[in-house]
Amino acid sequence: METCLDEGTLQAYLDGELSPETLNNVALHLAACAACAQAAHAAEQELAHFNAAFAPALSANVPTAKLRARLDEAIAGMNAPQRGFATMPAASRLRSIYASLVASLTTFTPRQATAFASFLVAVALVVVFFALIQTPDGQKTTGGEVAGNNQPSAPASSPAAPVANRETPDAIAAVTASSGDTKDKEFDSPAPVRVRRDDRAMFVKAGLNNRQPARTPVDGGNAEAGNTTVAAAAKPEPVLEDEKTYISSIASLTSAIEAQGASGLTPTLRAEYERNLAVVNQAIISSRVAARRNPQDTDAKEFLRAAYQNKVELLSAVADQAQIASSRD
Amino acid sequence: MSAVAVCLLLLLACPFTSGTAAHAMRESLAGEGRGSSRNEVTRGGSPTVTAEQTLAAEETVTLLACLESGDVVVRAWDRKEVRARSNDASRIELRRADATVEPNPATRIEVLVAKDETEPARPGLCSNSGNLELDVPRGATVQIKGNTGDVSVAGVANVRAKTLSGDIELQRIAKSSEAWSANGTIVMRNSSGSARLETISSEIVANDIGTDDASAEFFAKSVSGEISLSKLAHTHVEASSSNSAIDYEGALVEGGLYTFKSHSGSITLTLPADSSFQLNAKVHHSGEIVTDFPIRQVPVQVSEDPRNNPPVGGALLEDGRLTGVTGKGDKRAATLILSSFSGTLHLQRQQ
Repeated sequence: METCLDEGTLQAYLDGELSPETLNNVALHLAACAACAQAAHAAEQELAHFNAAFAPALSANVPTAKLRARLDEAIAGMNAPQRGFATMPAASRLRSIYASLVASLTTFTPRQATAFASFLVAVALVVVFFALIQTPDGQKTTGGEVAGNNQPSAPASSPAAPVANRETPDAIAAVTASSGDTKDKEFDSPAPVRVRRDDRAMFVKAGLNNRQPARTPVDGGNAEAGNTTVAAAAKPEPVLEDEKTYISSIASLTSAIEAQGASGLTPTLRAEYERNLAVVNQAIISSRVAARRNPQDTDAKEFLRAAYQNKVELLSAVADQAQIASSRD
Repeated sequence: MSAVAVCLLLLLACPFTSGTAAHAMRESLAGEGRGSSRNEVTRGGSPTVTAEQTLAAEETVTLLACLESGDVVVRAWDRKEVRARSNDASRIELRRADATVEPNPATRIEVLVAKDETEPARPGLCSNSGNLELDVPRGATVQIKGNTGDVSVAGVANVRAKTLSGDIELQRIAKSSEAWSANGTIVMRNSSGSARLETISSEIVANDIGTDDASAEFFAKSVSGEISLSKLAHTHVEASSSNSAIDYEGALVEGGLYTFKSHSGSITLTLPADSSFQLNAKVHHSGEIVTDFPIRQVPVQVSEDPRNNPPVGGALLEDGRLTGVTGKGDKRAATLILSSFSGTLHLQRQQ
């Protein structure tokens, strides 16, 4: 039974941020593992939900200003009969505001109270969220919970010290693999963050949300170790004799396209390519699953081979066009 | 005198119309600008020829053109020369791409077009051009590469066309056709010889394609574009699509081999009621096989080439596979190999 890919690796795969070798392994695994393929597909939808849910809380001014305006209005209304409020001492004014707030809470309509409670929950979640991602390595994580492998946790480390000086190579490998080559630079944390599966899911999603450019490995050793760990986790058995060749070609083409950029393509054409890429990916997944179920099924293998061929041809077309566009520029 | 003046006015007014009279007049006046470019004046707001060049060529000349933009129209004529015209380029050059020198006719010509008079020619690279009209000998081989513009080729012997998003239309091609487009429709009509048509996401339509060559093959492939084929005379027809429909309509050639594969799209064959064929159809994962033709069970027949001709016969229905024969089912019967991972296979009678 193969170990499923952790969420961070999936997200990095979707972002095209994995090295070619890791990409090979992950693609191979995704083609064989329907659950992981589905999880990858669901990741973007989850992100959309995440964004929608936290948009009010993360956009600092809008809800705060609205709430403040409402509170000011309520306070002004309550204090309208009172005279000399402006001339009261500051401490008295604060006490008065506090008392007004408490009073307004007790006089909220159920709808207002629900809205206010929702806001408080959202604020609390944001606080927890930022507290988690800014917590130094080792202070929040627990041993053995690194996603994607079962290695023991690394010792706690100082965030200021270089990674290679703080942790053993094995621990570094665990950190890198579990974080999916993510770089915590996105959150202004100076060192790699080893987080639990759920935490890291938030980490990567937030990275997507911030539309960060492709992440780079912390260092060469870490990246290599991370790749090894992912490969060990996936270990997919090729269904076709020439499957590795196909996957290697696909990885090379993908790298070439990323290197050249697809900016030369018109939006319509890009959309078409992406749509067709999804079509062939789905074909690869479905036929590969069938071929794995019954290795004697030559038809399924033929379908798989045809799907791989389609993908190679499709990526070749994109790469050609990207090359033409870059040479034109 | 006045007739000549009228002819000239008509020529200037609609040089790019495809009407027979206008075309005939253009042909009758062709050759005036041989070996040199010329400019003409716009009359009455109609498009006009802004650049033109003509070059003597072998009947079997190979013509190369690559355009960043603009449409390309290629027509065959009975002259042994190539004429290139544009209605918005400032300069056209028919450059010899072989070892021949004047006065010998060229065997290989590259068409270079420039929008700006000062723009240097870029042999081997695509021209930043507008529309281009080419008249070539009937035996010519035409190789056109376009980007967003459409490509239309008619009457030549061989054609290879490639576009990114422009449509490709091929008519009366005599010997062989190759067309590839990422996002453009490919239409091929009234032609003969081998054909290889591929697109990623647009439609492929082929109608009335004959052949005198027994070895000529017809091949069509798309990822997500529909494939509609009718009246093909090839003994080897193959079409495949990842997730779009494949339709074939027409009689089957005796002894012909028809291979249609789709991952998730349907495959529909509309055949004459008296068709005779051996059938090997399979839906792998889901989908169904629907046939208007009675399929008889026959003993297993192993072909000499199992890759192209998988065994026919044995169990009529087994594991999503339907094999058997309809009609006489003798050696002259065609062989249909239909395969889909999750689409429907439909054999229906022609009305």
